[in-house]
Amino acid sequence: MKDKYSKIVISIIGILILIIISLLIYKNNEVQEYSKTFFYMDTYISVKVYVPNEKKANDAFEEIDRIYRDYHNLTNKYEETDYGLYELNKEGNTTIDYRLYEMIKYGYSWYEKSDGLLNIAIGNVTDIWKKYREDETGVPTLSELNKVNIDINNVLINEINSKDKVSDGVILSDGVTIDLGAISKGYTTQIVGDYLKSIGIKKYIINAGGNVLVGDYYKGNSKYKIGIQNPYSDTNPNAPSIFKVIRGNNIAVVTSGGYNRNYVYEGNIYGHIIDPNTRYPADNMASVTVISKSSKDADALSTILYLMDVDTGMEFVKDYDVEVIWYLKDGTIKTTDGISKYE
Amino acid sequence: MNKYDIILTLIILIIGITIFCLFKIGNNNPKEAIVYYDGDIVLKIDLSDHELRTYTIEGFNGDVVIETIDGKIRVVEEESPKHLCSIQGYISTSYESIICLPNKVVVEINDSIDVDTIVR
Repeated sequence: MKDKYSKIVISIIGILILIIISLLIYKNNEVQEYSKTFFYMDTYISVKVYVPNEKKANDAFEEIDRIYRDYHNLTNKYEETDYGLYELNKEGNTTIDYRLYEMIKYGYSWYEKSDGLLNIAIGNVTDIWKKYREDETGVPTLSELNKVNIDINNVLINEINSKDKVSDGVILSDGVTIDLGAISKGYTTQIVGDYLKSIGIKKYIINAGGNVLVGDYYKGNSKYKIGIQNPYSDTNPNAPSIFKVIRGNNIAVVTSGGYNRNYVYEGNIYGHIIDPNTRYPADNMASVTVISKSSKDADALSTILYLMDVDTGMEFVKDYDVEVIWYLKDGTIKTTDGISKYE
Repeated sequence: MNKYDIILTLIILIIGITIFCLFKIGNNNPKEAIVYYDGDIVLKIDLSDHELRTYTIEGFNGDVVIETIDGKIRVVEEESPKHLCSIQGYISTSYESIICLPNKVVVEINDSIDVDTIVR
């Protein structure tokens, strides 16, 4: 009898030890949320990482800050930076940083694919609109807009392989200037996501002004819930502030819309996404959202789709592995067929 | 039932309770507002009570005064060209945020039921 008792006691102790060990392992594997915000590229960027300790988070934040700051400076049209876009636009041909060179090359590659809708040579026109948007005292005339050059043929790209400074990589002529606003946030966010993966941080969520990129979910086998803002929630206080929730991991979700960064003049709203064909802000829809594995492609595609009508866009995206949600001006919502995998 | 059955039942019970507790831990997210200045968290405010409270934090252009009541939060005073973030008024869900770009101040809300982030 005594022998039986001790066996029981031993096995209970054994099980308790097992439970304690598994608890400890669980605690050690548990990740904490660390978050930080940045202000770059005219927008507010929020980054959350899920890591075991603060040091890992802070090291990552330091590098992320550097990435966004560098790309912000390099793509800034209005402030001078060494080897940056300001210099290139002013000089037409100058030595630039290879990171800027690669982004220009990436942006340029969309021109033909989008039938000229994503035109990085649109700088002169966006400059005019920026001025009017800031003054809010009028609208540029067509002749004022037509006076400037936005011909992509005045952008010459030479193939150069470098991880440093690039000379003669991009040559601008006839006063054409480059604007990377349509792609810079998504492109840079992609670089940040790749960086996080490279240092072993798989659980993260980045939101850079309309560009969201998420990694693995931070807990269990669940998925991130990404809300898409209702474009009319600001004008109609009774409207719900989000109209759809996307569920997924390791995806980028990017929205383009006319409802932010716009200005109102004489009752008309002028958005910030300019159609290179008309040289006026596009007004085909309220917003369009693209879900893709790639943040940079999602950013480029959302701009292109915003410039197309829905039917053309629906055809166009068949060539790409993306899902799309259109929010039309009358409030109807259209989606590609595959959207159900994110619902 | 002999002694071993009882022990087995006990063991299974203990394991069950432990697993239940493991999943319970860390699942309680009270509603709170998080205030950032220049990227760093400077204030966390519990929004689960209904008291009227004001907080003053340092923004880029000077003091930013924040007020909470009934689970809502707003910016009351700030120095900026357009006063966009004090005009915005209250926010009360994680769907919303207040962004004072000139002051480098951001107010967000965390609660357990809502989405993880919003694309705008």
